[in-house]
Amino acid sequence: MEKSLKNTPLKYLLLFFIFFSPLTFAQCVESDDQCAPVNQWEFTLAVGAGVLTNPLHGGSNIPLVIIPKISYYGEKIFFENNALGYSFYETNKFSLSAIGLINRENTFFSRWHPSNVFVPLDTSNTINTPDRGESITQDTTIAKINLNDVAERDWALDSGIQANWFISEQSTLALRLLHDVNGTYNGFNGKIEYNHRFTAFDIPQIQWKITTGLNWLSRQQVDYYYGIGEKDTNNVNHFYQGKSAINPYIKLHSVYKLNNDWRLTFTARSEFLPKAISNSPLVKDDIIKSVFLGVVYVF
Amino acid sequence: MSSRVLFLLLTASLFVIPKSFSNTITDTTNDTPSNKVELSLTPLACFVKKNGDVCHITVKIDWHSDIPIDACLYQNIKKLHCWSATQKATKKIPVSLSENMNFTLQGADNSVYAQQQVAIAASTSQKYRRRLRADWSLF
Repeated sequence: MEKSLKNTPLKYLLLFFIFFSPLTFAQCVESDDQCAPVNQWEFTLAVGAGVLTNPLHGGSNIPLVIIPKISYYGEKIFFENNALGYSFYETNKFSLSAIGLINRENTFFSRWHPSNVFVPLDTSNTINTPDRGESITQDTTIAKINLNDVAERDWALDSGIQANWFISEQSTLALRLLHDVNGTYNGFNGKIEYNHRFTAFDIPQIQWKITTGLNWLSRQQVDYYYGIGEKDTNNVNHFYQGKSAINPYIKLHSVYKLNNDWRLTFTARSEFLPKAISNSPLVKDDIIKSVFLGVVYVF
Repeated sequence: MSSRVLFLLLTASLFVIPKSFSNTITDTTNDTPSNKVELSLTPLACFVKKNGDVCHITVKIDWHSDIPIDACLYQNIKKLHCWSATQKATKKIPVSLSENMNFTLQGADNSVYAQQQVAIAASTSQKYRRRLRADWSLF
């Protein structure tokens, strides 16, 4: 096994990237928000109003009120919120990085979420839509099962490869392929994402960014989170086997830079769940939406 | 600590980098093999505060040829000045550059008599690189 690895083209490819990694920063300048200062921690705090919807039966929507962001970019290493990466090949047009990050999926299953640390959830407010026991009273042909009636899911830690193309000053394309490393669902997931920045309405101070992409979830990941089996219930009517899924998403993000410290920001995002996920008895919505409007302070 | 070292190195380089390399000019593609054209630019380096800043300098150009020639000076592809049937010239031209720039002395048929590069260097140690994750990627 070891011998075959030594002779694979992959080895030479990795050696190429490691020894011929021309890290260059010539095209990146301080005034560009898409550029990060090297060897410097950055911390921003956004305060405003928003929500991330939970597509699960019995799942609580997540209020977005205070959103911290922390990042660090070294010569090759980088850290942003829930992701840690190492860029072993980077030019002005392209970069290839190893990356590890916390899988998002358990956000919807957890009573704990990073946002909840900063925003105490009021379980009696109108955002929560608990429907515990709904599956019992509904027509049995429409299988539904509540989040509170299934086994807990675990957080997954994913790692893999990310490629970024800086097509132009306005446009970027990113590709990512990950596999969980803590044996949670034992599968892959991937992403392809296109970003385009622009100004509109003759207001150059407002920077707009539209993002569109596809999230690919392997059968194993969909089945682990959205599948229903004996670990969840004895009712075979609720059993569901997950299939691989491709979730398209679109996001609009805008920033109005008031000065060096303060910004106004708006984000709206929709992710569309295919039948491979939305057919699960756990899932009540086939769209995950998030919206946030607030002010950002840059420390 | 490291920024101070880099600043000292950059400051030292001001004294190390010669103001011109008038003897390093080559006559490359002139149709007349026997003719030799020498081009000299002063200064050959421009220091800005940080990467991306535009450098505004006045470049002193000296050139001479063995025989009278028609020649134009270009900043990359931008024509700066032309001489007709001239064997020797000196001129000061204000230029703006935000990256390393080639200055070429070309003939009427675009043949290159000689060229020089003016380098740009940032005096600050702060470097920037592309962000690799989208804003608020958690959501």
